[in-house]
Parts: sequence; structure tokens; C-alpha cells
Amino acid sequence: MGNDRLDRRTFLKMGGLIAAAGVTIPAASQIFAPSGLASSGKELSAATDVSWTMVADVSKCSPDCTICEDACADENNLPRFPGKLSRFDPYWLRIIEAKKELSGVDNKALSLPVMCMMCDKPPCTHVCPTKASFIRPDGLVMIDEHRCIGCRYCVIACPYRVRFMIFKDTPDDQWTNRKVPKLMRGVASKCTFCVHRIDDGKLPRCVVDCPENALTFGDRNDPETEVAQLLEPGTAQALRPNLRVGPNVFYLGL
Amino acid sequence: MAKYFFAPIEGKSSKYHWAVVILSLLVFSWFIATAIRFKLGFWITGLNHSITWGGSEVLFVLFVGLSAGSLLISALGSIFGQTEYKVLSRVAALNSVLFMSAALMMLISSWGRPDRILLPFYNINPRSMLSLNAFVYSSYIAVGIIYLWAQLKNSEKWSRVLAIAAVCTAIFVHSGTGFIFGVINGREMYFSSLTPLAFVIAALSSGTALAMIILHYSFKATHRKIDKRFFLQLSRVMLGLIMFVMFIVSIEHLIHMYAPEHYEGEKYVLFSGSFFTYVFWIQLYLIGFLSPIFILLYPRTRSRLGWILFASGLHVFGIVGERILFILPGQFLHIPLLPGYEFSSAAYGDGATINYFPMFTAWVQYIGVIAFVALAYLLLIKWLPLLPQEAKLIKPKPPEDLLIEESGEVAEGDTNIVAGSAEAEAPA
Ligand code: SF4
Repeated sequence: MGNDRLDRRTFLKMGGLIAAAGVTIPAASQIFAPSGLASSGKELSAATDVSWTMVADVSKCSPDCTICEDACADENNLPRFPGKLSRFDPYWLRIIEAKKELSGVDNKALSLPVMCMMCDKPPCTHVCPTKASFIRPDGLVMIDEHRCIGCRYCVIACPYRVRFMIFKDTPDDQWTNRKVPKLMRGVASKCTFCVHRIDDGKLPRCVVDCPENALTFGDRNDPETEVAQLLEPGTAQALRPNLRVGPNVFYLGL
Repeated sequence: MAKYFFAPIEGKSSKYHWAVVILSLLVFSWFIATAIRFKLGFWITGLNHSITWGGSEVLFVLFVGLSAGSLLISALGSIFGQTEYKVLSRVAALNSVLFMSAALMMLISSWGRPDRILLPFYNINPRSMLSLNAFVYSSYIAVGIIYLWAQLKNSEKWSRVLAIAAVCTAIFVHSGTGFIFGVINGREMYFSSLTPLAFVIAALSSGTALAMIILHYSFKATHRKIDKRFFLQLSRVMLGLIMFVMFIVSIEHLIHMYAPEHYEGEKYVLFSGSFFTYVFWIQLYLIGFLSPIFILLYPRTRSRLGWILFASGLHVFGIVGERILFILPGQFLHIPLLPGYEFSSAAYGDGATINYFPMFTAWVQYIGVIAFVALAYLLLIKWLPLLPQEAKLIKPKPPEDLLIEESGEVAEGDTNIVAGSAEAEAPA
């Protein structure tokens, strides 16, 4: 158990460092060449300089589309239980229908993909009694599931309701992506921005699978990246900005 | 100088034996339920993605609170100069330790991974109140046990020092528990600086109430005598505490009603006709606050032991409601992800009605923890000299008009000296 914990934690932390170190050394950008971040010119400059950001243009999202939701479940082995047990399905990314509260006007419902906001000041890491919730050097908020005691404090403290307890073990036949560990019952879990793909120089799976290109991902500290350019006009909005937790997911077209 | 004689109870009656057997079975079923919950996962508890803190957390805060009142009674003798209370000090200290242990049992058995119980002790997160509380709670139990031990050894000096240490730790325990919830700023219903204060005062009032009930029935069941004036005095203390906690709860709700971001929550709890509306108005206000206040103020009931105990029971029941309101409504309210928008999600139930009712396994756990307190109490008062042979109030006498003789048990003057297995001295 102890080794598992160390391995996983070291793996996650090292992942962040490797991702960063890989781009500090120009030659290492080769690592990212095959697809995703590097090929789209989204290299990092240094571990702590990165600001991984997701921008969702909700005007491109069509109603009833759940492609990103399904892609997330597929990539991260999120279980889908049968019948009544489906109420325990975790949704690291979920589509929310949002309608403006305008009396007398039947305004159009918007579809918002909602995932972990990877806050700069995440309440979940502040409250976690075992530091199982932690921030990687590149700013990604992660959970070390081997250190989590399942107290659910972070689930309550998350202002976006994007943390989930794992109510039941994932059946073996649903562990399709062996690159990602199977979810463990009794601990907290959440979207990781597909950290295993980022560390491989790839984009998160929801971004890749979206047929409308509604989701854009990258380092907003690099002015060359698409996310930086999308954010530049200042029209993107974060959810619950008044809490000042520094969310890194922004929405266009609200 | 009065001498108090403490003696273990005999515990030879068949009633006692049956009680021990039944309670042991209940504690064993708690163990089985916890193991099943651990093995199968949260889905058998009644919790869901919206309500992740449920009955276990309600009972956790209730027990933490109840331990406070017992400690207060125990410490009155040593710290606050109420030497006559020393006679109750041992049994009250025992209750305080038992309730705190029960609180931790409840909390840890509700974790998804209770097997990782030691992790919080070496992966400390100084920003997390729960992390700090791991130390505070365990020190509280440790100090409580040593305090009890010092009393059993009749060490006057150490009892006093440890009583002070126990009260200081208790302040951290109770405000720390309030903090756990008060710092959740992402959910308006939780975020409040009054929470820790309200928590401490309600802890003292309900703890005193339950301690009175336990003391009365312990003495009655063992045919020992306890001076009614203890209850009269404690009921005065409790009355003040109940009024204070009612005041804090009321102003907290009133202030929240002025803030638009809190108003929705207040409307939901106070006026929506939901389960919580009944808990608030009937269980908390009517049963928990107003009825005991009336009973303890009305001249014909305030001095009658039966009524005092009844008022205490009502108040404890009311505070269960307060703890429910403390933990649950904050999760029942939908998080306003984007103010000005209505939300719903097909898959995840955003915006949908939230339901929660603990399932069988959870009830077995709740009952098992309560049984643990009762079992440990029964066994320990049999093994250790914790209950006095006779508890008499020596000073000061309450005003004459407060006393109504019921059974002729109230005696004047010094205590009788009765042979016992342990004795302690207190200045008369
Ligand atoms: S559930 Fe796990 S990750 Fe969340 S606060 Fe508790 S220990 Fe930390």
C-alpha cells in the first residue's frame, strides 16, 4: 500500500515536472511532437509558469449533445451502472442546461460542459485533512486516491460540485483504458484535465472528441496559444467569480 | 470537610446482564455494518452525489456537543470553585470521554476508507480544520482519561490541573468542530462566523441536559441517592444556556435573511414547508427552545425534578434538530453556478429534487454507536469507583422558594459517611 501511494504520488508530481522540464529544454519538445499540445505550438516555458486553461464556447454546443461527457467517461473508466444504480455514476464532466431567469421570455437553454475548474486557490485542497488533494507544480489540482480517507469534506467544500465520491467499485469489464487506474470505491475523484494525456503531450479527450471545436485547451500564459487569444477580448466568463477561487475554466457565449 | 464515597455498582441483577448482552450485540452489529459498508461502498448507506454528509455527521456533531456538557459539570468542581460538584465529577468526566469516543467512532466509520485511520496523523494539512482536529480530538480523549485517572487516584492537585487542561482542549474541540462547517464558503448555508459560537453554546446546553438525565437514572437504577438541588442548580445553568443559544440561532437566521445570497437558503429552511421547516419550527424552536424555557421558568414546574428532566429531554431532542439543520440543508440547496440562470442536468440531477434517507446499514451504525456509549458506561461504573454512594449538595443552599419537597430526599447539613471502596475529600 505504502509503495503504491508513493508510486502514484511521485508519478503524478513527476508528471508535472517532466511536462515542464520537457519544454524548458528545447530538444525535448520532440517528445510532444506526435500530437496535441506540442504540435499546436502550445509548449510550456517552465513548470510554475503554466496556467492550464480550458475555454468552452457554449454557443457552439448543440442541445442534447453529450459527446464530451461520454468521451470523458470512456477515457477515464468512469463506470456506468445499470438501472437504479445509475444514480451513483460519477460524471467528471457533465452537461448542464442553463436558462436565464427572465420572466415572460422563453429564452434558449444553453448547454455548459462543467468539469473541475482547476482553481488557483482550491477550497478542496485547503480542507483536505490528509493532503490527498494537492496542487501539482504546473497548477493542476489532483487527488491521490491512495491517500484519501473518504471523508467527503472536499466534496462539500467544492463550490462547483465537481468532486464525486466513488460509491461502488468499477466492474472489471468497464476498465477499458488501462493507462488510467480503475476508480477505487470510498474515495473522492474528479476531472484531471486528462493529466495522463497532458503528460504525453496530448490534449484532453473531451477537447479532441468535440465535433464542434467548442472546447479549447492550453497554457494561457503563452500568448501564442489559442486559449490566450480566446481570452484576450475579455468576454469569457468564469463560474462563480465572486468566490475568487481562481477558476481556470472559462465560458464564451453566455 | 465532607467525605464522598465512591463505589462500583454491583451489577449482579439480571436486568444489568441482559442490558450488557443486548448492548454488546448492538455494538457488534455496528462493527459488521461498518465492515459491510467498507467492503461494498457508500451506495448502501443512503448517501448520494448530492448528500454526501448525512446522519453519521449529524450524530458526530451531536456527540461532540454532548461531551461538552458533561465536561462542564465535571470541571465545575475543580475549576470554578463549586466544590460540591466534585461528587459528580468522575461520572461526568467519564461521560465526556465516552461521548467524544462515540463521536469519533461515528465519524471514522462513515469514512470511505476507515482502514486509513492513521493517515491524518502523519499527512498533516495545517490549513484543514479537520486535519488539526485529528490532534485536538485525540488529545481531548487522552486528557479526559488522565483527568479521570487523577480523580480515581484522589489527586486533588492533578485533578485541578487536568480539569483546566480538559476545559482548554474542549474549547478547541467545540469551536474546531464548528469551524469545520463554518469555513465552507462555497455553500452559503454553511459559511458563517457565528457557527462555532452557536455550536459551543448548544453543545453546553444539550450536554448539560443529557448529563442530568444520565445522572438521575444512574442513581435511581442503583438505588443511590442524589440531592435534587444539583438538578435545580444545573437547570438554572441550562436555562441560561438555552436562552443564549436561541438568541444566537435567531440572530444568525435574521441576519442571513437580509443578504440576497443567503435569502434563498433561509426561505428554504424557514418557510418552504420542507422537512427542514418542520425541524426548525417544531423540533428546534417549539420543542427544543420554547418548551424547556417555559418549563424552567414557570413556578409550578421549574422546581420539580420530573419536569426538569422532561425539559432536558426536550432540549436534547431539539438540539438533534439543530444538528440536522447544521449539516443537511446546505447540501439540499442547489449551488448557484451562474447567478441569474436556472440549471438542470439530465445525468447528474442538478436542479432536481434531492432526496435522502439513511438506509438500514446506516441505522445499524447509528444505533451501534449509541449502544457503545451505554455499554461502556455500564461496564465502567461496575469496574471502577465512579458513582458516589450518595450525592449531596453541601453549599450553597438555593433560595427557599425554589425548593419543593417531593420525596423527602433533600437533606440539610453534612453528608453521611458511608463505607465505600474509594473516597474523596471536598471542603464543605
Ligand atoms: S475525501 Fe479524500 S480528497 Fe476529499 S478531503 Fe477527504 S481525504 Fe481529502
